[in-house]
Amino acid sequence: MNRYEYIEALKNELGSVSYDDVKSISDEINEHFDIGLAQGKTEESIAESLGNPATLAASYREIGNVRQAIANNRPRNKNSIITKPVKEVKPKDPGAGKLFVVLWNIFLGIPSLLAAAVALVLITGAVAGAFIGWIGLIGGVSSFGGFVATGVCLAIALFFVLVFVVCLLYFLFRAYMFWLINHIRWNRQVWNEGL
Amino acid sequence: MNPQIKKGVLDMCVMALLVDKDSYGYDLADSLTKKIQAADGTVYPILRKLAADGMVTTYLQESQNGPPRKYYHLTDDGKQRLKEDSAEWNIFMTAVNDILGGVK
Repeated sequence: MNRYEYIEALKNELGSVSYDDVKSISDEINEHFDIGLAQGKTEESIAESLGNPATLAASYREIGNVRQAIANNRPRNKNSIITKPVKEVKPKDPGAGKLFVVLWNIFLGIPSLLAAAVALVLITGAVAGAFIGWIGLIGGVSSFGGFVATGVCLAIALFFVLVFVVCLLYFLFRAYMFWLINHIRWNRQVWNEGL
Repeated sequence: MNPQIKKGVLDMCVMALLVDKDSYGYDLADSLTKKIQAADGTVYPILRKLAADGMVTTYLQESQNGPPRKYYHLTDDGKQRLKEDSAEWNIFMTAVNDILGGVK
């Protein structure tokens, strides 16, 4: 197997590993080939001594998130070198979670969501009112007499202000939906899995 | 050898190879496989895991010939872990040898 074949085989076996990780893994194996070649070895013998690409890929996959956390000092693993790390699962109390969801929604969740909904409706109403007023202004411009030019300028300026406010409203709506969906998702999670 | 035991031991060996001086993957693979029967590739996932755990840090350094090499440096946490692991290993080995004593 030559270098290209080896790296391709390795990449194929890496499976669900993220693109960045695949890139950095193939970089380090390429570096290994470079140094080996500089020492007079052949691509085939280097590939041979690297071991089966499927086995190597499996070891990489085992790390889980293999992204190299260079400056990232996670709390160190105190597990023994002999025994397999045992993942501790914190027992959760779903009863407390349900109670929390109910209380949260009565006192904070639903009131604040409702208040925000009412505010959004009011703002929308105000914008609609302003728009009707603006149409009225357009109609009335001709009667401005000597001030027609001023009236037209005012109408154009107000038009842009309205467009701006409508855009703003659109983003407010999206933020509200985002908030609502996340709130529901979070509630469901706490409800099912406890606090 | 039982792969589970070997894996833990190899982590410790890679850290031990980095105690005195920083080194790069190829060199570590070479030093390791001279003494222990393992594929050269073995060291790379180990180094990656050690880096993720904060046991080693990496940096690039130019070499006289060819592209820059990725060097690995054992951190203080790594040194501490190595100390603990090798102490644990010695106790374990002594016990195992004791038990195996009768086997010829």
